[in-house]
This record gives sequence, C-alpha cells and structure tokens, in this order.
Amino acid sequence: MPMTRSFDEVNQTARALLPLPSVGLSTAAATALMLALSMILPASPAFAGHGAQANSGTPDDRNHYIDRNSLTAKSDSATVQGVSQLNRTVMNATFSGSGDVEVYDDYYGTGGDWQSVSGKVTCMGYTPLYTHCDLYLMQYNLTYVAGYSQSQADQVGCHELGHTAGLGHRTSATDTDNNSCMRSGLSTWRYFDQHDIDAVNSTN
Amino acid sequence: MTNRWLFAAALAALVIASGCSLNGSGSDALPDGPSQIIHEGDRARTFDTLGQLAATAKIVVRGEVIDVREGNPITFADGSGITVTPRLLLLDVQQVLMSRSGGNQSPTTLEVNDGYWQSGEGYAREGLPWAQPGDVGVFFLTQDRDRDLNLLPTYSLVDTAGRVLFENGHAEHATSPLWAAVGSSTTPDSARVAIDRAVQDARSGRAKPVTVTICRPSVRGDENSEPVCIEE
Repeated sequence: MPMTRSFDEVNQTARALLPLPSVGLSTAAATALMLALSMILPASPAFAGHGAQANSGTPDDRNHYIDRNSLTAKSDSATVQGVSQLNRTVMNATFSGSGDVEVYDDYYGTGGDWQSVSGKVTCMGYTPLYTHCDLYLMQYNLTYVAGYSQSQADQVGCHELGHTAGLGHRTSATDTDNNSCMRSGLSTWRYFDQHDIDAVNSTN
Repeated sequence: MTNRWLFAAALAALVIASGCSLNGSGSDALPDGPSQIIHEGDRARTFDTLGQLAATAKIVVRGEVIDVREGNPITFADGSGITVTPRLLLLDVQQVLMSRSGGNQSPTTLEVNDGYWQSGEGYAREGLPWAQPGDVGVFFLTQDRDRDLNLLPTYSLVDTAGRVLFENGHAEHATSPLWAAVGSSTTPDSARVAIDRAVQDARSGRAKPVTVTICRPSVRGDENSEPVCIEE
C-alpha cells in the first residue's frame, strides 16, 4: 500500500502551480473575489447540475490521480470500487499519481461535523479563478465505517469519489428507483446509476 | 454590461489589495466569519421526522449563544498533518425541552461545536452559517465521543436539521426534508409547534431513536486492529 505523505506536502506542491494562493489572499479577500468573479462569469456547472447540496465542486480536468494514504483494507477496497465507478464516466481515474484526490481514513470520532458522518470530501485547492477544484481531501470515518460490511463501505467509496467528480447528493425524491450510491445514508448500493453518469459526463 | 464589468473589476482589485495588506500584517487572529463550506458527507444515519431527531438526541434545549471559544486544536492521526481548531459556542441553556441523560440536574451551559478553523480559514457546515453571541434558538444535541469512544464534554448537532435560530421574526434552519414537512417557509410559531410535537412524540415513544453502530480500534492507535463496536 502507498506510504502516507503529509497532506500539506501534497497541498504545497499543488498550490505552487496555482498563482492565486501564492499571492497570499486573505480569506475575506478570496471570498469577495469569488463574489466579484461570480458577477462576470457564468454559473459553474458544478452547482447548476445534479444536486447542489454536498457538491464539492467539479474537478479541473478529467484525469483523476487517486492517492491512497495508508488505508485500511476496507477503505482501500472501497476506494477501488469508487474508482471503478468513476471510470464508467468520462473521468480517467488511476492510482498512478497524486495531486488530485488524497484519500485518508481514521477513527475521527463523532464530534462536530463528524457526527453521523461516515465519509466526506473537501476541496483543498481551487484553480486560479475558483471555478474548479484542483485538489480534494477525501476521508473515511472508521468510527462508523469499521462497523460496515464491505458492500456498505464500497457505497461510501463510490459516494465520496462521486463528489470529486462534481456530483451532489441524491434523495428519495431524485432517485426514486433507489439505485444510486449518491444517496446519503447506510446502504449497500455501490454503483452510479445512469443519471449520475450522465451528470458527470455533462459537467466534465 | 460595461458597468457590471467595471464594478466587478474594481471590487476584485480592492479586495486583492486589502487581502495582501491583511496578510502582511502577520495577524494570527482567527477570522470571525467562515470562508469555506464543509460539504455534507455521507451519513451513517438519516432521519425521516423531527420526532426521530428528538428521540435520538441526548438533549434538546432552547438557549442563547453567549460566547464563542476556540477548542483545543486537533491534529488528525491519519497522516494528513491537518490540524483543526474547533469553534465552540457557549450556550446559556434557558429551557431543557427533552433529556435522555438522566439525573435531576439540568445543565446551565453547554459547549456546542459550530464549525472550525483550519490553516487560518473558517469552515461552516453546509446550510449552517456560524451562530454568533446573542443568537437564540433550539438545538438537538448529542454528546461527542473521541476516536476511542470516550465521552467528551462538548456537544454537536445530531443532524444539520437540528438547529433553529429565531432572528428578526424568522426561523433559520438548514434546508432539510424534515423542515420541508413543516411548510415551505418556517415561521417561529410553526417551528415551535413542530418542535413541541417532535418532543412529545419522542417522550411518548411514538418516535423511536435512530441508532447507529460506532467503533473504536481494539488496539489504541492501530486502525488496522479489530474494531470494537457498540450501538448508540
């Protein structure tokens, strides 16, 4: 299994490629800049497409280097399942590099935003105009996932990697046949449905 | 269109300039407002009704935020090197609507997680703007556990739907099917009616708690050791 690298190490490498963060914008400035840019740029397809809630933003390109950082066997298998689903779309996801999706797992406990949360994705580095995500942090919370069956863990892997392709959550109202891993909640459904695939293909 | 471009360009230039000067000051103060969103993750349990939410919560309180504190920084043990500083609300408990914690004494204050700071940026949960001192509302809470499932002194919302703030005649809460069932626009009165009904359903047993399996490693610090799990 790949060795663990500090996320900051990866992040710094990615940020070195991005001109805006190197300017040293304050958060208030960055937020206001995004506001200003939103006035002159068209709406990002990431937020206009399938499920605005829980949408971490669309990736900067179709090549997705997935970096597994000392994962448990269960999380590792779940990530492999997620990658197999990404590759049913226009995305080209591989394990042969790093810098797009850094995957970690740990017993994060139940406090704060980890309450009842088995996995999550956070965009840690945006492209210069803040229109796409260049670097995602993906985390499995073993506090919950360790008690899952492999199929249930696979659903989390599919779900979280779906977020890294720009997908938001599905609900009972938007997934009436209940066959998408993008529904939130404990499930053994570990695949994208055609709607998910179409959404990824149309926004990437 | 030209004016729009000019205004946007001027605004962008202004904030870039102000941002550089702010960073140049070397201030270590954590920001008062969030600039990043914590997107809703895949949930280990979901709720169908506010009654289930109340039945699952360890305590449901009405209270006022009287202070915001920095929690102890937490460095993830996953190898990422990421450190977060919890943002804790000090909640003055005005009324305990429901409690499953046992005992006769009601808490007078509670510390409640509300986002965090990381690398000098503020993070707020999706649909939950940071609460501020003076905010009054109802909170559906559960007690936090650390990686070894030890109970901590802090509390968190059992779900993002578990917070309603009453401000200027409005009832503010995260977008959720649980609140959509109350109506397209929740008023303070309709929120109070819905909360009272949920608490009654939980107390009477009509609404059941939604349990979840939580685990810790059998060998402390070794995530590859066999997990030891309990229902909560």
